[in-house]
Amino acid sequence: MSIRWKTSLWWALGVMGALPLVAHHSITAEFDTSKSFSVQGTLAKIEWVNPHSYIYLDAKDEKGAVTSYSFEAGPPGNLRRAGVLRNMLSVGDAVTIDAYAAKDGSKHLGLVKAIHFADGHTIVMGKDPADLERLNK
Amino acid sequence: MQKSLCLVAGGILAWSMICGWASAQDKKAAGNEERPVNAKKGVPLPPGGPTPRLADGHPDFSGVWFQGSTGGHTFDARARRQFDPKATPEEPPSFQPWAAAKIKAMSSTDYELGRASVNCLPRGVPGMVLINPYPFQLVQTPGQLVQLDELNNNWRVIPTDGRAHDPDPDPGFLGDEVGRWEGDTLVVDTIAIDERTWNNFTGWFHSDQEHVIERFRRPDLNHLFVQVTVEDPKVLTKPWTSAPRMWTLGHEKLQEYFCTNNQEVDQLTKLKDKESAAKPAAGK
Amino acid sequence: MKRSLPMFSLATIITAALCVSAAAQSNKVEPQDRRVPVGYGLDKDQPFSGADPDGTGLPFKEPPAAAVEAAEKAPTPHLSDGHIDLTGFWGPAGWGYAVTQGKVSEDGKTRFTQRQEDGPVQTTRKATELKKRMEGANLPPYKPELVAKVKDLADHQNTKDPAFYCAPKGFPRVGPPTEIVQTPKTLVFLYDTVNSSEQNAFRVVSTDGRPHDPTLNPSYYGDSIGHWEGNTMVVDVTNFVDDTWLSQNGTIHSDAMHVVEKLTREGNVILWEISIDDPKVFSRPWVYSRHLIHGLEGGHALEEAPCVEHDGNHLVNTDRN
Repeated sequence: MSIRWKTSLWWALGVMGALPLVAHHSITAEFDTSKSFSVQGTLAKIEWVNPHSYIYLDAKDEKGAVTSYSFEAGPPGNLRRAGVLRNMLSVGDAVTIDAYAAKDGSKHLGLVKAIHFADGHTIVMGKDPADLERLNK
Repeated sequence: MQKSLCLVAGGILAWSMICGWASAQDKKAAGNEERPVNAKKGVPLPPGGPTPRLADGHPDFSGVWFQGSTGGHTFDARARRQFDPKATPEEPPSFQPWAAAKIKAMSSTDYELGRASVNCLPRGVPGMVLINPYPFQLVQTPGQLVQLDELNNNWRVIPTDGRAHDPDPDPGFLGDEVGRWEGDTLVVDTIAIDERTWNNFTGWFHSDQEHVIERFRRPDLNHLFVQVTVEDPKVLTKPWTSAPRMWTLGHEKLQEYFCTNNQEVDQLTKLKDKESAAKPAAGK
Repeated sequence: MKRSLPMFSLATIITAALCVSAAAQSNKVEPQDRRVPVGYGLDKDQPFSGADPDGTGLPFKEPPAAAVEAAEKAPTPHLSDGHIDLTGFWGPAGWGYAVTQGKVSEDGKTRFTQRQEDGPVQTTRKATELKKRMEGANLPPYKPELVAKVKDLADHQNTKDPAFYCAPKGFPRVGPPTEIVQTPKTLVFLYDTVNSSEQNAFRVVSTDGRPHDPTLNPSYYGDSIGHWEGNTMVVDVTNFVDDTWLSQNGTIHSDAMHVVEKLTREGNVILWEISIDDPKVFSRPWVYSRHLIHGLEGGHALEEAPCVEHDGNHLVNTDRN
């Protein structure tokens, strides 16, 4: 017994890109992807866990006071399959994280949008803008 | 002509005797109802027969394996022992000063907070053969050995074709494992082990340079020995090798074990906070 | 589609060769970009879990018919005991290979995961899909008095789904096996539960003729015994705990659940069939199936990370995936 698929629908699904996370809530239940903020600091801890990896950042202000931030990223399996390996993030790395804001108003919680490293390289948890433009045309 | 017929007949007779004996062994082994009962009492298993082999001639490690000498769950401490320290002593691991100091600073609550079972984490490699009181099942086919762990329902698939490591492995609790044969010993080599694993219950953590070698041997039907070597140039001053650890063949099915409803982390963290508050400020 | 498959494969080989050599020249940002080698199973070919546009309510989809037909033509392997050998890697390629998505910018400095969130609020596409799930062609046949409860659980999946809070999905929600290892005496199913609640799970199916063991505790994956009926391995599964769902749609069951799972291999295809019988909740068995296509040679399920839940206290609505 097989279900017949329309080829066009199939291709459309492939292009959609956003692979839903089976075992968890929708991102829209927790984060607002129309609001983002950036924090600079050092990576304090990286939690490679399901359903979401967590990246903890310590940000120091001018007086030296430290504020801790928690940033949610994708599941380790998905990250790996998208080329983000564990050796790319290390405790102590000096980074700037762009993140989407939490809908419940938590100021020190976000969904990772991009991680910028001191040496100029970046990991973007999203599509190449050039690809996004092409999709939206 | 008659001589060769005789030889052939003799061969057939010998073969059928061997087969008959082998199936009798099977039947003995298949009289498994007594084994769990005897195991509880601490009755050690005999050799039970020769090493089973796969069609390619290599030893077949397949079976459900229990810690110690009885092939089942036992309450008898002596029967659970995996080696005789008088015959094959195990040295404690030799830590570098910074690692020894870090472990010394841990309290018993810290030991608990670092434990895999408290955190619902896999015991990983080499914990699953070194500090694992639960049975595991090995399923061997030419080219691979599968280990199914009752503890936390984990498994690993070890290729046994002598391949090299992944050039860029991602760390995992089971690491990047490859196997090769050295005669009748299967040597399993593992790197890229997740830093959350410990090698004992008293703080033996490891670095990203940890390299584990496990040697599997099955000298007879009922016995499996696994000897573990741990190399860790950042944490240890020299490699550590275990005694050959004994596992015996069971005939029960693995039970399911999922770590759910874990409240220990919260409770232990609260305990840790209390302990830290109670200690004098200096030093800790 | 059939005729273009070899061309596609050739193109993939060439691309793979080029990509591998290009990758070898890059810096730390781009370690070996291992492209998927030739064969069925690039991610875009594969029915991935999660999306449910056909309204089956199940977290997996049927592969394209043409791919199934082509794969069935391969020779069917047998074990030394004469039975068909189900051994193999049956997961989508993306499950068994390190890097199958994502891209690196031309200057090598930026890595994109190419996984983009939809937007700040649930899209109409998603809302339509969710609505379709509850109206699909093969809904579980709940007794009338349970329909409202199931729908309510589905609507509040965010807070009610045990798998969202690190409880095991169990069987049969976990779906078809990712890897199978078969010997004459043992049949083992290995699961890559993918981003899931439980880490990698396994089932051992006794194929030595023993009956169910009534002394075993109820479990998430049940007690499995199997036997051959011609070319089909028939697995009988009983003795379940009752606190799992059968899918993401609030699909509860009782401890009376009894599942029959059938696997029939032809070439490089397994027809995987499930029949769930639960007289306490269903008015008749819930039956579904799909084809599994052998993944690429050498593929294995990847180790899954442990489950730690941090989001529960931050959810502001009941949006679902």
